[in-house]
Amino acid sequence: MADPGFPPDTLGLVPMPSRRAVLSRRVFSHVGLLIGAGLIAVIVIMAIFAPVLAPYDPYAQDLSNRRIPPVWHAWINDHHKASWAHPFGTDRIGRDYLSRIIYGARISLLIGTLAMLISGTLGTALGVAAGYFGGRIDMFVNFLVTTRLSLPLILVCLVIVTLFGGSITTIILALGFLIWDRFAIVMRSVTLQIRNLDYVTVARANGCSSAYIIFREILPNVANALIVVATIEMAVAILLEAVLSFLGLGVKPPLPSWGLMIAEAKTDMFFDAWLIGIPGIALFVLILAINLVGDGLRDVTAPERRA
Amino acid sequence: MTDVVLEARDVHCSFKVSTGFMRPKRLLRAVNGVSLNLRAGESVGLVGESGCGKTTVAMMLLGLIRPARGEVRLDGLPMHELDQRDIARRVQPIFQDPYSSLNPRKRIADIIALPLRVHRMGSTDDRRKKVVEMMDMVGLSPRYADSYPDQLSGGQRQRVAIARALIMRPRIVICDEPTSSLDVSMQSQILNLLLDLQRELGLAYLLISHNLAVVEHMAVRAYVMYLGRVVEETDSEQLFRAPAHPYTRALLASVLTPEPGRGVPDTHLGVAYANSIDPPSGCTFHPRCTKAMAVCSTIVPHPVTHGATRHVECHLYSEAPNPAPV
Repeated sequence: MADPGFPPDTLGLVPMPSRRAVLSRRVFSHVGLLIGAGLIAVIVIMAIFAPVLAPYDPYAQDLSNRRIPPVWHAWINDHHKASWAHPFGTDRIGRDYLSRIIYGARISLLIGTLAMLISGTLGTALGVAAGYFGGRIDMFVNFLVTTRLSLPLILVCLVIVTLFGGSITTIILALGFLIWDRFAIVMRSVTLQIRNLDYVTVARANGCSSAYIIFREILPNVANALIVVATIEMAVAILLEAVLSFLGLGVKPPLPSWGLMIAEAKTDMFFDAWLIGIPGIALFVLILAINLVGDGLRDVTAPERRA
Repeated sequence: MTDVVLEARDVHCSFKVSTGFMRPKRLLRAVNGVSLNLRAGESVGLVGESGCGKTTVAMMLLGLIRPARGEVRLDGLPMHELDQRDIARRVQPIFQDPYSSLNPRKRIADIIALPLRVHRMGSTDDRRKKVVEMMDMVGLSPRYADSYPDQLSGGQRQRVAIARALIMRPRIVICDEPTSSLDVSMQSQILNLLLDLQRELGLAYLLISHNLAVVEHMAVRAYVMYLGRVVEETDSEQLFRAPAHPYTRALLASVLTPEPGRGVPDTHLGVAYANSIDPPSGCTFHPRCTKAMAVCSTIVPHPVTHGATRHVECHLYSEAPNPAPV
């Protein structure tokens, strides 16, 4: 443990455990967090190294090899076409499904992360301002939140896509500026609780600026709630992208979005169910992993359980 | 020791409170004309039940609430003309709950150094040195400097709060219930620490408390507050020997004693709780007073001097001919 420059303890007491040691012990004893982080790591590596990992070009069509079932059909019902050449099979125009799933991770993560960052910044700023300053600012933010809540997400996205065309940028901006409400509501109520605590009063009595109080006294203490909301919103953004793509309002084909893949496979649902099942499972695993990590981070960073 | 360092002159403060859905907001008069003063190196108590305005007075004395009427003077200067940092150099608070007065995300050393940081005093090393010095002074091992508040006990946390309040070497410390949330064995330790530090640093304390034993132990003078007004001001010896105001008597009678068999004291205060939104007419204490007279419900008593008691607001001591008690 690094000595912070204090005189060595004359009583020979055991030094207090360092923060890093405590944190790592808590991280590595949290099973949910480890599973979630492992899954996310796999998906992120998949997305980053997609060109290396994908066995085929995700856009390359091979019309002589359409609807090849995944490799396990060779074992289960002796399908003559299923083989390791296409582990997840091919879609109805003969594109390799595994390659499309790998590239699809890029779109989901990109949209999820950026939409979460935009909405998180916006919502946290509004919520903290409302909770800290109160009065008219609070009333204004509450007005914005109720206005936003009265807008049906899908309908607004429909209008935006009609006006500006469905591109990844449009989807990210639309979602980013639509799903900040939960951030604002949660941050407002947490800030309200903290701003009345004595340590904030002490800071005010010492003449600290509002900026200091917000950034050094309040924000570190709302980080827990922020992490949880951020993971929920990231999952929401990824699901909404899938929903929009499914409805034909999201990213445009032939981009390999998981939602779009489900949409394209819906006519084949009763004959080749895996065409829907595989991207569905991919989405499910990603959302589950994000939620596991969010819960885990909340648990290990909560000050009341730091010991 | 006659120089007044902190003085409140007839301060008033009220809050708008909501009384329910679709009802108009009402005015809650938290503090209704309080005057008090604090001399250098002196300990003064401020006692009263919950909700009587003690904490609001503390907020005004810290410069955090500006009184609606009247003024607070610090070293003879009007408080509202001073910068909050100038106020903080001279007045520092210690709060009741050491669990909410320390930021759980900050290290102990950073918490104690906060006033130094805000006032940009000294380099990081100087501050570290001062923090260690201060921790030593309040009886905290320097090994806690890099700990977080949740690794400390309640008493240790309160020592941290005291260290933070004193690191600027203020002249005045406002202690809002400094021991109420500590267990009994810790209370006396913290009070004795406060007394030692007072001798060492020449501090003036304003001890806000509902615990009369604390005031008896620490303070030379005491103010008794009831519903936003000071109803009695006297030397603490006089306060405990011969309380003048019926409310003070009831407060003294309500102290729990460790004697077995005595049971819970009967204060005659009743269960009726004083309402500061709708204060009673005349003397605000009359609905709960055992000595209430006809005049009490109509006429507000004026402050008078009664023997060794400097200030008491009660018709029992008015110069006007006393009507027969009801």
